[in-house]
Amino acid sequence: MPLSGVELMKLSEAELLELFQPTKCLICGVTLHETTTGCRKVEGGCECSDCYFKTFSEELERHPIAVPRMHRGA
Amino acid sequence: MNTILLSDEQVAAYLRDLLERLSALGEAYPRVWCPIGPSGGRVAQAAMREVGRSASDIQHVPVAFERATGVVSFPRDPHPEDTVKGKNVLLIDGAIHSGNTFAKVYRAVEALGVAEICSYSLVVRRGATALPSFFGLAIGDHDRALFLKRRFPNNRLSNFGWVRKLAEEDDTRPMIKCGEDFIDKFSWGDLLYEMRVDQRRRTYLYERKGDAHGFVSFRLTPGETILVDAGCRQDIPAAGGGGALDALGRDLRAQRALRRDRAVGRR
Repeated sequence: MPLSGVELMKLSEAELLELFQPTKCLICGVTLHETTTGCRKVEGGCECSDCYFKTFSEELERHPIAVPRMHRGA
Repeated sequence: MNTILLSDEQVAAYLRDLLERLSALGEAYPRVWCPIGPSGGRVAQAAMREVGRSASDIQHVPVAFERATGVVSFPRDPHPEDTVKGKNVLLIDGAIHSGNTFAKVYRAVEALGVAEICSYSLVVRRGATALPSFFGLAIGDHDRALFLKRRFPNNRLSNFGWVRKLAEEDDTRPMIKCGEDFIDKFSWGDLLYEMRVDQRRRTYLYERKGDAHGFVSFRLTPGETILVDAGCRQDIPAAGGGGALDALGRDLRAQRALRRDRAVGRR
């Protein structure tokens, strides 16, 4: 059923959020929003930037970024 | 990156203008509104406050978009066509970033047999691939606009310590050892030298209690893409926020648009 404008106005912030079945972070479950939590696509869904960088950080620790390049004196 | 803050009053002023323009359509005034996602819902809510008593004449068919799958759905109504068929509809969104969501929703609503679609977004990013018929504010590709929120998010690096550009005095500091040959053979002097001979080269380190716990070395292209050459961290359990790379990654994002697809990472 559609909502009337009056019904829409009466919705609380939480009710409004749930109404749209928003995408949630696969790891922590926070509701994702581009400008506030970030929304990063990963395999199987999306993650917030906090979780994404945490995972990225752990991954980097296992596989440090390193590409061959010129060094001093080479 | 610029952050644009819109007060509730400024949002209301944009919406009053929108409502006047819709009213000018006369008989074509859309009486079915489709708010897109929570931000579209918030803007529609704010618009209803401006509409006042006539709000009960407008029907809202909320539209959800699942980002991971790209599926458009109508969570309040399994048969939205019963409400929208043959009617003029307003699609209303908070912000259009890439235009991808808007385009998919537009096509999905169009497929329901509506008469006409007009559309509104409070904010539109300049590089968006789709534009609505009305919009309030245009922002740059790396800007963000905050509106109708109870709190605004701060940028955050880490709970403790600080991030800074590598400096001459670091030359004598012990180098971080991460167990990766490619990286462990660098010295701080190597990284300083590269910054000196290449003005686009940057190395930032994460320091806590006087010790370096991580660094990232990258090059800025003329187009301001960040190409990461090397990065490592040492785990600091009490630092919080995922450690040094978390901090460094955020720092980079805060300064430039980090094009992660160009970074040499594994995931």
